[in-house]
Order: sequence, then structure tokens, then C-alpha cells
Amino acid sequence: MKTTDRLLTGAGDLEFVSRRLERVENAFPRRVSADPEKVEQGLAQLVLTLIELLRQLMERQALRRMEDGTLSDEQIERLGLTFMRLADRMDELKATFGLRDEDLNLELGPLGSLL
Amino acid sequence: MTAVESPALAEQVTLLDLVDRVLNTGVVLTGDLTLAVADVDLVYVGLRLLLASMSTLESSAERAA
Amino acid sequence: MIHVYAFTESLRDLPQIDGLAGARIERLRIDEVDAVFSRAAGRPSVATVRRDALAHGAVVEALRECSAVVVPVRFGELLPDDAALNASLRERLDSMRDNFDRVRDCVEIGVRVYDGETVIERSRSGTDYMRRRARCESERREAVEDLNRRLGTLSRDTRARTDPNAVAERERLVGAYLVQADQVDAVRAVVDAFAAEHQDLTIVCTGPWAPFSFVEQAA
Repeated sequence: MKTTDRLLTGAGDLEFVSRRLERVENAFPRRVSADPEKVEQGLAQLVLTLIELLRQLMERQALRRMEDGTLSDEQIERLGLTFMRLADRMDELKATFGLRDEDLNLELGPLGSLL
Repeated sequence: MTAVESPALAEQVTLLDLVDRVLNTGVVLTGDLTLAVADVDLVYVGLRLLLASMSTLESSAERAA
Repeated sequence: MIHVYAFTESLRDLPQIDGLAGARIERLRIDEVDAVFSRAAGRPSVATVRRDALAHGAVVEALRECSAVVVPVRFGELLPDDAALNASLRERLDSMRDNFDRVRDCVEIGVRVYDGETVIERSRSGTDYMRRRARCESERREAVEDLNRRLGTLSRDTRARTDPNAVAERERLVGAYLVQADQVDAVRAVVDAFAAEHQDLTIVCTGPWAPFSFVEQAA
């Protein structure tokens, strides 16, 4: 099995993903902007939000595997570097498109939007 | 800005928590709830959009001040 | 159609407050138990849910000042007519008395704990990063479980959700605590102390509420 196949095996993770995806769907801009810059920023926000969602999912899985002892030292090292490098790339892209951390956070639950 | 620092947000949090309680807890009389789960989610989405625009307004007001 | 807000024990006067869509609140009494209700024009719609749910909650909360015990009814149902209300109240008398005893002298306090902003701390190595993340997660998990336990010892009952598998999940704890009136300050103090000690978490404490989460229907 490839690494990607192994990543979504727990039922809890599907629940996690589907709940987050519902909120991504709700985050689609409702008004279509005629301004190309705004459209670009809106798309960037959506893409980066999805990447952030995947990053959190993968990190969650990886940490659980690490606790279970089913990751090799080499895998742990590689994963950690990947998460940090991914975060660096995202910081660059956020800066390019004028997006803040808050713009990428998908709220959880009814009170999440306030926090 | 946390809910504690802003009285308006604190009030909204409280109201939201009440709505959450009223919709999800309490004695069920007939089991025939007129609101489907999806509808309840719409309430949350509507509230989220309202509150997101509220906090945007507040921070704009702050920057202007 | 009839919209019911709550069942009460030893209700004195009805509160001076309107029900849904400005309707008058009314009561139907059998023995010491009242069903508090109003008449509805039609079924609630999604468009008015927020307004109606808040109105429903406001009536429930106002009833706390007017009666010995309040057992909230869930929002969203309608009974067809007065006869149905009468029958519903009559068949629930014993169940409501059990509820009254279960929640007497208590209020509900809500506590939610969320992660603050995700902060990616750079480390020397991938392994270091993963170890620090794992430690952070387990510390937070333990802190939240400890909070729930301590609040539980101050409460008559607890309804709390902490997901030990919720790594990278912002919602850490959603808790409702059934607290005797004279213990509310102690509960608040525990929550405040926790918030002060964990600046990287966001804590939302609401209440006192009527005991929404602690009332049960007859089997």
C-alpha cells in the first residue's frame, strides 16, 4: 500500500475530513467578483485553506502513528521536515496574496467563527 | 480579540450557546422535530456569516479610530 | 398549534415576556406541574430559526425566576391542539417529577475549550518538530481531561465531550455541568484559573442556564 492509501484508514478521520469539507463548501464566496485581483485572492484562499486542511489531517495521522510506534525514525524525520517546509511555502504564498492565518482557518462548531 | 475583551462578541457567544442548547437539548415531546439536521447547520452557517461580518466591522471601526 | 417551552414545578406567575412571534405565553397546570406554551401560527422556518430559538430560550430562562424548577423542552416541535397538550402533560407527570428531583437547586454551566491559533514552531530537525508537536498535544489533552475531572467533582452531573483522538482538532472540550447554585462561584474559579494557566487555549464559559442538557424523557 502506498503511503497515501494508508493515510485515510480510520473512520474518525473520514468524519474529520467530511466535517471540514462541509465548511470549505460553506466558505465558497457567495458573490462573484468582477475584480480579477479579488478572484485570484479568493482562489488562493480556497486552495491554501484546502492545503492547510490536508496538512492538519496528515499531521494528526502522523502524530498518532508516532504514538503507536508504527513510524520508523527515518519516516518521523522526513515527515517533520515536510510539515515545516510546507508551512514555509504556505507563508510565502499567504504573503504573496495578502492572506492572514485567520483567512485559512475553517471554523469548528457554532462558536468557532468567533475565536 | 477574544470574546472576553469585546462585550459585543461576548454577547454573541452567549446567544449562540443558548441557540445551540435550545436546538440540541431539552425534553423531546413527539420526536417530530420540524427542523432537519441540515437546516440546523444552515442556522450555524448563517450565524457564522453574520458574526464574521460583525467582527470585520469591529476591526474596521478600530482601524478607523 | 401549540409550542411548548418548558415544564415547571410550582410556577407562581408567568414571566412578563413575549413568546415566539410576539405570542402570549400561557400555562396548563396539573397538580404542581405546569406546561408553559404559546400558540403558533405555523411551523418554524429556517429563515426565522435564529430569532425563534432565541425567543424560546429567553422564555425558558425567564421561567427560572418564577418557579422552583424548570425543565426545558427542545425547540422545533409543535403539538396539534390543547387536547394533545393536556395528554402530553398528563402522561409525563411522573417523568417530570423525576426530572425536577434530578435538577433541583442546580443550574447548567457550559464550558468549551478550543485551541488558539495554530503556531508552527520551526525546529532544528524533523524529529524534533514531531516530538515537540506530540508533547504539546498530549499536554493539552491531559490538561483538558484534568479540567473536566475537576469540574465534575464540583458538579452533580456532567455531559462532556473530549475526543482523545482529536489531534489538530480545535475543539478540545464541549462540556455541560449541572452545578448546585452555591457551587457556581467555585466552578467559575476553576475555569478562570485554567484559562490563566493556558494562554494558548481559548476557553468559553457560559451560563448559568436552565438544565437543558440534563433532562430526560420517560423510557
